[in-house]
Amino acid sequence: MTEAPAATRSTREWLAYLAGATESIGSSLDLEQVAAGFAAAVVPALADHAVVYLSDYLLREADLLPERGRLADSVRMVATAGTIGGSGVTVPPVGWLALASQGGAGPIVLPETHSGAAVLFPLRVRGMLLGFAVWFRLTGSFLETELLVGGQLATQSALSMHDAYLYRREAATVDVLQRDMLTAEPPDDMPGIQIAQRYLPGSPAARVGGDWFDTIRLRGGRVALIVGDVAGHGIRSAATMGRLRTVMRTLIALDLPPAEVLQSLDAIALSEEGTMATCLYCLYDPVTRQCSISNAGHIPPVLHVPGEQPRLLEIPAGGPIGVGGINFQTVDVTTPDGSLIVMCTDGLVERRDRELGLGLAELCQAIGEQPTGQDLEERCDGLLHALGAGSRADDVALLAANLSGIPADRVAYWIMSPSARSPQLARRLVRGLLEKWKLPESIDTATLLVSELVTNAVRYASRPISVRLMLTDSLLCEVHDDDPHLPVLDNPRPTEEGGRGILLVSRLARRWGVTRISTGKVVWFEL
Amino acid sequence: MGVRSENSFVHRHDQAAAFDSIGERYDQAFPHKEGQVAAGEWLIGQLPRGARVLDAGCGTGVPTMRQLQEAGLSVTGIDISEVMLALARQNVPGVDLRQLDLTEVGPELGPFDAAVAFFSLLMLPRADIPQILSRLHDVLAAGGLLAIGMVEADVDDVPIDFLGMPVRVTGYPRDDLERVVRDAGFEVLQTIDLSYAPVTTQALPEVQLFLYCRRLVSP
Repeated sequence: MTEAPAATRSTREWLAYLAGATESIGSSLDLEQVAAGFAAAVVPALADHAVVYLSDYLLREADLLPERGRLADSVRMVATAGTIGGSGVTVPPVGWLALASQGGAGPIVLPETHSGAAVLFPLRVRGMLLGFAVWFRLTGSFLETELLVGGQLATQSALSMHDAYLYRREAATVDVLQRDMLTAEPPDDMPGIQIAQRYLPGSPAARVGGDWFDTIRLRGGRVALIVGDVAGHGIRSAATMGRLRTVMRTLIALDLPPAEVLQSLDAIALSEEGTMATCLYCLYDPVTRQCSISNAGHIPPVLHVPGEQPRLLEIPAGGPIGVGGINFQTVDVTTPDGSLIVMCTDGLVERRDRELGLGLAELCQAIGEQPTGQDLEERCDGLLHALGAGSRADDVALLAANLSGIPADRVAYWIMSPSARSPQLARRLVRGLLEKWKLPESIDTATLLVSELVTNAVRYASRPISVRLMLTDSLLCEVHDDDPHLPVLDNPRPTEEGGRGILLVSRLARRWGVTRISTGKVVWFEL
Repeated sequence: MGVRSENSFVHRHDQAAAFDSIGERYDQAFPHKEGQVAAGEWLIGQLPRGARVLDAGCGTGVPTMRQLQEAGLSVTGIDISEVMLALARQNVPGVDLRQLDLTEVGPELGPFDAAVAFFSLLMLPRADIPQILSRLHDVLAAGGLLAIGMVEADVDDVPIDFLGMPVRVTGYPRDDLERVVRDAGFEVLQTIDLSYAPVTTQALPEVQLFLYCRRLVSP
């Protein structure tokens, strides 16, 4: 800043000063920095000391703007420049706020101060008071030109502050939206699998939104693991993410194979213009110890089998959701007990200054260097730390799962051609198994309900029906038949012979359900 | 030849073709065969070195033929699948192998001190199983041992998708299987049931039954 005495500046010098000051004020999208830029621009060029006070409302991140005029009920000092009389006053005299509130946008010369002069500039945008600035001068008073210039700077600052506020609020809104749509915690107590997940929003520039993960517990102990990334950032991406996530949950609940889930998701995304996302879907079956994985243009998962090096799983990457015409594939991967699978978004491994492959190699290496048997939550934190996730611009979603399987002797499976003797056979098999499993208290209910379901199945099935029992934290019984019609929960008339099976199941089971699958349907219950 | 189901020839041809296609994927899908290995151990414990054993439906030869041969028993393996026999030849060098169906087992093969049929009766219609068991009975020496591995189910020659191939399978509930085996002239010494989960999504988990039997003099 050229330091000509204020009174003697030419028009050209004023314009040059205004240009420089405006630039330094408007260069940030951060409220405090705008205020600091404002204070720094006027000291010492126009004042010996400057203080900026802003509304508390404005400074609290996610709040919506209050009614007009009530914004500055309380203010707080956010910036100061120059030195007189020690440090600035954190809480300004009540009179100042009153003066700022009643006036228009123009400067108000303050009467007091023991020596020199003071002037207050309200910071207003479209009539709304955001706060105010006060300038002090040790000697002499402020010239009219100086007040005009100051008023101009105050208007400029207020606009920048309002922008910064809106930006901060949008980022906060996106963050709230994003977090609300991500399940806080994975479903707990899932047999045969343990899960930890992390979401980190992007840098303070608030590049939030669009990354997601999901964990869904499915029939028969299977667990769906999903990580996805919607193209772009901000509120639109967060909203798209929410939509895709809901669609995917619905498709997965239909028990479609992973590639068909992605195929259907793609078809739905195509009908909504501008929806583009990558997605990785892994379906773990703790009974067969297999992961069925399908990929839509996402970075591959890492599998760490005990005693081996962590490796990237080669899943055909297909292409992103929303492109269309991609033939997604499902790859079955054997995951021995104790395996760790890690799925993440590119925010964790991608950097501008290097290839993606190097980032993935770094991820594999970081996993390999972790002590075996380390707590899964600690592992996640360790991976985020090792890959410097905190300092990344992009947001990061990370999902890690320890796969431990359900022991084979906790599962039994029989197929039987539908016949008049099937219910009786099913009762005998279930009874024998529950005796072996030492569950005498469950025998009566389980045999009754399985027998009812097999009776129903025999009535409509044309191909062999199957009965499966699984013992984990609960006793799960499934009856599968090839008839696609779902049973209806209905109160049978007193004279009716059949139709009570599902009613009994609904009364006696802890949980129950019916799933239509490609080969018919499965009716299941838990005791 | 005894009584055979009508489409038996076509049926056996298709089953052989299916197993030709499955080949070594069979062992990949069923890597752990604890129940089968235990049954082999039982035989080894009962038989003197050099005793003759028939593996009826030997498949890839592992684990059973290898296990029996390493224990010093003299093993003959039969299977209908050429591809399976070729794998067995690699897996268990020097073993006596014949491309024969279970329905073709005759006295000229024997006599044997023991026979095993692990998951091979599974591939036959129920109508054929009693006569196969009779053939095994007749090819065994007096007091000869028989170990059977089966899947517990109540199906007769139903088509299923097995490792991506259409095959037809048969199973009995435990009590029924024991009765069929007894009716063919065997004493059932012990029955073991075992839950089993294959390492693939292309085959179903199952309950396996292992029957340890002894040939009675006459049925």
